[in-house]
Parts: sequence; C-alpha cells; structure tokens
Amino acid sequence: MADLNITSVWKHFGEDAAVADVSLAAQSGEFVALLGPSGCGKTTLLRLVAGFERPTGGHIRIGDRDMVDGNGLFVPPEHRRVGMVFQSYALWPHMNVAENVGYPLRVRGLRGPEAGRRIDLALKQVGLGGLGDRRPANLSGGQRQRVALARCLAMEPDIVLLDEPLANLDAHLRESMQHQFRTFHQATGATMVYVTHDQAEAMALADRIAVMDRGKIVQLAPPPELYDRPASEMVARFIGRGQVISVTGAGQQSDGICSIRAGEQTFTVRGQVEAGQPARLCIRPEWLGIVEPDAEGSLRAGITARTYRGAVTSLEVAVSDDLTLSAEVPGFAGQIGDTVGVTIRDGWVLPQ
Amino acid sequence: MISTRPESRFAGLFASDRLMLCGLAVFVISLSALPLGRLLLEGVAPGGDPGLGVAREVLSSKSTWLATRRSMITGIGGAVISVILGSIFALLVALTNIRAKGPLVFCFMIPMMIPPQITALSWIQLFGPSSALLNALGIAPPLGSPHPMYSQEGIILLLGVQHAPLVFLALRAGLRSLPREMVEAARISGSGRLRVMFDVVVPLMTPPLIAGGALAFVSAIGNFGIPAMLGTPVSYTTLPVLIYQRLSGFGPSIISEVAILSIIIGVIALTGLLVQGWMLSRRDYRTIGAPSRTLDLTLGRLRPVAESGCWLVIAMILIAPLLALIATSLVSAYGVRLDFQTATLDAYREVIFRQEVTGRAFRNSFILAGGAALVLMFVAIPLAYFIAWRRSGLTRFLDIAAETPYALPGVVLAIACILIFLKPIPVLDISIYGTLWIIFAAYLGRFLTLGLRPVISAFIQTDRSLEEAAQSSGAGFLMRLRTAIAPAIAPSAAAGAILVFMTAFNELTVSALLWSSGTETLGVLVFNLDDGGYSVMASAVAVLAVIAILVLMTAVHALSGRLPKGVLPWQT
Repeated sequence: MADLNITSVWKHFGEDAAVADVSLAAQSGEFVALLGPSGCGKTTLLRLVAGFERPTGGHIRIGDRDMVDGNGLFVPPEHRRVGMVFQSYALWPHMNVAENVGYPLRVRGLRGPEAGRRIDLALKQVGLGGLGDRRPANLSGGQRQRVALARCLAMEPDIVLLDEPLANLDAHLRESMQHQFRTFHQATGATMVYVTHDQAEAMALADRIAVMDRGKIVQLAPPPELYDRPASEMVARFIGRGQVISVTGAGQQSDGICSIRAGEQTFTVRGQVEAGQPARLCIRPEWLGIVEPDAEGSLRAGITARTYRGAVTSLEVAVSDDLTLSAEVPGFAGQIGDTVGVTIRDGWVLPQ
Repeated sequence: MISTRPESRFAGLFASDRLMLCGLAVFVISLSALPLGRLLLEGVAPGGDPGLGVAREVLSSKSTWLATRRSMITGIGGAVISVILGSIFALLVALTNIRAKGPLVFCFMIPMMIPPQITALSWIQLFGPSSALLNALGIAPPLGSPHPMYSQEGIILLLGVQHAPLVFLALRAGLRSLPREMVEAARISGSGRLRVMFDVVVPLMTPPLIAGGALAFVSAIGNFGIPAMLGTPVSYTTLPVLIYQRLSGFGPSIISEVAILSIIIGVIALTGLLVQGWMLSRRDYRTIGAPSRTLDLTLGRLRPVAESGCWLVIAMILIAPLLALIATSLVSAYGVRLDFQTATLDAYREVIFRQEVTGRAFRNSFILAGGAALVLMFVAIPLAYFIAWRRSGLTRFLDIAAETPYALPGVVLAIACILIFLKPIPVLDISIYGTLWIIFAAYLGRFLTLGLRPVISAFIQTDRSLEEAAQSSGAGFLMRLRTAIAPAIAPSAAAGAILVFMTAFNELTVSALLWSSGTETLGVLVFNLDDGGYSVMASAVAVLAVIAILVLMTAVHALSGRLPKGVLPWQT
C-alpha cells in the first residue's frame, strides 16, 4: 500500500479547466472520497490518477514513484499498479468470472495453481467463492460489482480507485455494497479514492471527503467537520441540506462561540464574527427548534409547507418576507398555516 | 362534447388498421414469399410434374459443380479481402486519432454504392494493354499480354473491394458501442495497448466481424456484374453467370434447370447466414455498460504513416479506377493514345444525343427506380409501424419475408419472378413477362427491405406516446397515421426511398435476367455495351452513372442532420 500525492494538477479540455490547480495528499491506507455535483471534475481527477487522462500541469506521485512529474514523465495506466472499480463494472463478457478476476495475474505472467489460489481467495473475500465458472451476464448487478472488486483485489494494487461504483445499483443493494467496501478497506488496508455524488455514501465510507466544485477542491476534511464546520456556502448547501442566511454579529463570547442577531432575536452559535459585522450563518434543519409562538427568545413564524418523512417532519417556516427556514422536528407535527416560534439552537458562522 | 365516430361498429374484422395490415400482408407475401415458394416448388416439381429428374440431371452436370466451386472460391476469397480491408479501416477510424475521418469514410463507402459492373469496367480500363490511362502515361503493358483482371484473382480482388464497406460498417458500429471502460479495465490491470487489442477488443468484436464477413460472403456469392465482366472473357463461370448464360442462350424453356441452379446458390447463401448465426450463438458477447466516446488511441509518430496508408488504399481502389474510366470515356477510339489533342467528348455526345437505346435505358431505370422508391416509401411507413409498434406473429413473419429477397442473391428472386410471371396472372389474365412490369415487381420485392429498415429504426427510436396522444384525442387509425405518425417518420422514409432509388437505378443482377428489347436498364446497358466491345461508350455511360450516384450521396449526406441515427449506410 502506498500514499498518494497530487500537487497543483491541472487538466484542460480545450479552453476549459476540468481540474484546476488541485492538490491532495492521501496517506497510506486512507479512504478519501471525492464528492461534488456532476461536472465538478471529480471523475477527471480520478482518471488523472489512473493515467487515462494526461494532466496539463502538476505532479502525481504514488508511494515513492512519480507518475507525472511535470517534466514530461507520464507513466501509462498499465504500469501504475493502480486498481480501479468502474461504474459499469467493466467485466469482459468473453471471459468467465475467474478469467476476469485472474486477468491482471495473466498479464503479469502468473499462471497455474498459484494464480488459481489467488483468484479463489479474491472471490472468497467478496463472498463469491465457487462462482468462478459463471459468465458475467448470468450475475446480478451486485454480484458483478463484487467480481469487479475481486479483480481489483487479485492484482494487489498500491491504490484502489472507485468511480461511482454503486450508481447503477438500487438503494437496498447500495447499502450492502457499502458494507462490502468497508470490509474490503479494513481487510486490505488499501489506500482508496472513491468518487461519488452521493453525500450519504461519502459520509458513511470515507475517512476524509474532498468536496469539489468547478474543478477545485473547496474543502478537504473528515465527514463530521464537513457537516459541522463547512468552509464555504457551497459546501454548506451541498452537504446535509444546509441553509445559509444573512445575520449580524453581536459579540464574541469565547474562542469559537459568538452571538448573532437574526430577525429580532439574539442567538448563540459557533464561529467568529465581530459585533455589528454582517455574516453568513449555516444552519442544518435539525439545528432549529420549533416552540410555542411568542416563547421567549424565539422568532415568530408561520408554517408554509410540511413534508412528513417518517421519523421526522420537515417544515418550511416563514419568519419574514425575505427569511424562510427549513426545520426538522421529530415525529408528525405542525400544520400549514400554524403560527409557531423558531429558535436557532446551533449554527456555524461561515469563515469570511 | 366532441362527437366520436362510431368506430366500435366496425371493430374487429373491418377496422381500418386490420384492413391495412391485410393489404400489406398481401403485398409482401405476393412479392416475396409467393415467388420464392414457387421457385422451391419448381425444384421438386419441374413444369408442374413432381419428380427429381431435372434436379438429378443438373446436379450431376460437371458445369454445375465447376461453377459452384468457383462461386465458393471467389465468395470466400472476396470475403477474406473484405474482412482484412474493412477491419483495418474500421480499427483506424474508430479507435485512433487519424485526421480527416469524414472524407476518408465517405470515400471508402463509395465502392459499395458504385454498381459492380461499373467497378469491373473501371478496373478493366485501369490495367491491360489497351488502358487509356496507362497509355496516356506511357506505362501500358505491351499489346497481346494477358489482362491481369480477367482472372480468378481479379474477381476475388474486386469482390473484396466492393464489399469491404459492409465489414467496415459492421465493425465500426461494434467498436462504437464498445464501452470505453472495457478497455480501461484491461489497461489498469497491466495490459499495454497492443495486448488490450488482442485480449479485449478483438474478442469483443467477434460478432460484428462474423456478421460483416458473412454479409460480404453472401453478397460476393450473389454478385453477377464482376464475375460476368471479368470471368466471361476467360470462360471463368460462377453460378450467377452460369444461370445468365443458360437463360440467355436457351430462353425460358430451360427455366426448370436454372431454377435448380438458383436454389443451389440460395442454399449456399442461406448456409452462410446460418453458420454465422450458429457461431454467434455459441457465446454470449453482450457487453455491459453504456457505450462511451471513442477510444482515441494516440498514434504519435505512426499517425502520418497510417493516414497515408489509408489514402493510398483509397487512391488504389477508388481514384485510379475512376480516372481510368474517365480516361477511356474521353478517347476517340479504343486504343487511341489519350492526350490534350485527342481528348474528345464524342462518346458522351453519342450516348446522350444519338443512341436511342441510351436514352431509353436511362428513362427505364429512372422510371423503375423512381417508381419503386415511391411505392416502397408509402408501403414502408405503415408496414414498419406494424412491425415495430404492433408486434404479432404475422408482423414478425412479414418482417422476415421482407428481408429474404434482399438477403438472398439477386438471381434467386429474378428466376422466381420469371417462374411466377411467365404465364399470365390468373384472374386478371394479364401477362407482364417481357415488360417493364416484371422488373418493377422484382424491384419491389428485392428492395423492400432497403426502404423498410430506416423506417423501422425510426419507429423504434420514436416514443409511441406520439400515437397514443392522438388516439386519446379521438383520432382513428388512418387519421393518426396521416397526422401524427407519418410526419415524424417522413425523413427516414425519404432516406429509405433514396436508398432504394440509388440501388435500383444502377441495378444489374435482376434486370440482366428479366430485360428484353425495349426494357433495357442502365445496368444492362453498360454491361451490353462492354460485352459488345463498345468500351468507350460503356465508360461514358458509366461515368454519367457514377456522377448521378455521387450527386445523390452528397444530397442525402447534406440531409443527414435531420435523419435518425443509422439510416444512411455509409454513416451508422
């Protein structure tokens, strides 16, 4: 296993920069997710690491080997010792399962009982022991993805790249495959880079998440930090249905805790803002409290929309003409037209 | 309230859609299944008397087996050349970053659109002691030396060139739908580019290669123009040529004999198609995953080499023969050395203004091709509608029946048409044998599938809610067909009609067996002029025909933006 160092990498398609000055360091054994809306450059970045695209600038280093050094060195994909799991699985229909899994070994000239042993082991590790003779066409979607994973395992790569591997599976299967990936990661200790547009998937799997937007990494942090302390409005909105409102600073209480004014009330939130200064506040739906109308320290608001989600009910509450908030309360609650009180129990002042 | 017409009263047997389906079934069956059935009947009951005497006689004849062997040799040899040529071009165009792919593909497709007798004629004019081009350049072989094209090898080469586009198209379509990830997964597993080719690309391309090869074989087996023009001078006879010689030598009296011969050739073609089906069914080659953009292998320093190689091939198989054809058409008499003083348009003046038969042939071909295109366009829309959107046992049968006359060699349908139209049509008591109508009937049967395929693919790509919306608005079947369906499908139907026109306009195989004095077609004219030794005039007519084809191809090409994908054979 090896660490991955991406330094100031650029990739232009014509005039457009799909990846713009991206740097990313993944430690050996780390699980990094690349998360972002479609077209943000996450897949291009992955393909740069794999060697399917040639960067227009920057360095890429895997372990102690330079893949791209900015001086013309470019190691082709077949010499990078990188494993990849594709969205479409990319199983070859003219080979059976064992031949698919054993292909990287065959290419390296490994044949006979030793190859067979490693193929069996890889298939067992993904729970497909004994299915080596099957044709890919006769497998279910989840099984195909496991074969792709086993092929990756068999080649014992330095780094494993996963390109939206669960996008073609249904919700239920996705859950169980997430578990499979976690087990795979723990068992092999492989360095993994995982591209997804599904934040829940990234949160569930990754040690750190790199949120990408328009070719750049806007924040690279462990999932809880991303959720609690987003670095920008884009991250705040993209992760966890965050909302961002304009507030005014009302004094610093201690390091990292401050007061802000929103509507006619003052609330205590996390972050830094000087008194009297305008600021942008990130609020998660569950950070809002719904109380009796006119309760002390609450904003008076009317419920304008209600969506029942089972464990919780999402409410749209209008505080004023230009301030509408999304709140989440346990159980089944509220009715459109009801007047309620809204409190901000937690919030994060976005860094300027 | 909008009053609805009491359609329910006629529901069932007399509903307009049912009536139309019945009409279409009669059309397809009487032009395809009926003649072919009649041909089979002739095989076991020649002249109406059950018995295998004629069949035994034909099958024990030495000339039958010699022609069969030669058909097999030239068919297989031609298919091999087509596969080699077609796959090299397809791999380069689909997988690499060579430049000017559009013009390259267009030029590579032209041999397929040029009729075989003209291909043969132009290659004859390219080589040999009397070549106007070689003489003009002063490099012609000495008089009296044998012409290299009049040989088995010449036939094989031209059959290969003529049908290479079929392999190219099949393989390129396959390569285009090859998911990029299939290749990338192999690269990341440690395979270099060359190894990926052999481990992944070639195995996955087996189905299109087999399909394209089989198609090239069947087309080569059925080809009449090339072996007729290149083989006849050296008495090298393939089955279609044998049938032609027998029929033109003895007339319809030996129809039972040639019926057996055409059954043999039909069986060979069918066997080719069945072997293809069997080879494809042995393995599951379906790829999983959406097709992605082309692979774009970077050739680097090899790119100029590959590009010049491609254009050199185009120059050899297309440009040089056409130049030779033009050169011949410009000399004042065959054998005269061509230069700026001797060049003359006399041959063109002769064929356009003086020769009555030329004008007649152009007119006949125009009427036949235009009529067939028009009729088939109006048949194709409702027929494709039933085949694509209203599937049933009957429509599946009609689908196959429409395909068969084109899948089988042209002589098969021609002989079948002679058999069925030799006697006056029952009930109507009209005889169409010896008139333009018998050629017209054969064209309708043979080219139905050309007009039909584009329309079927348009229907498949069109959402059926188009019709359902009209239906829920209260429109009856004919109304829906006219107002909601036909307008959406019309461009494809027009493209199909143009394909029919282009193919029929220069057709030779069918009309060579069905023409009589006064009903010559353009294909027959070129063939007869050359056969009669009028090479210069034959070349002039051929040049005019090629110009007509290129104009048509360019015109349709300009329309291609408005057509659904895969309608034009040279595009996919």
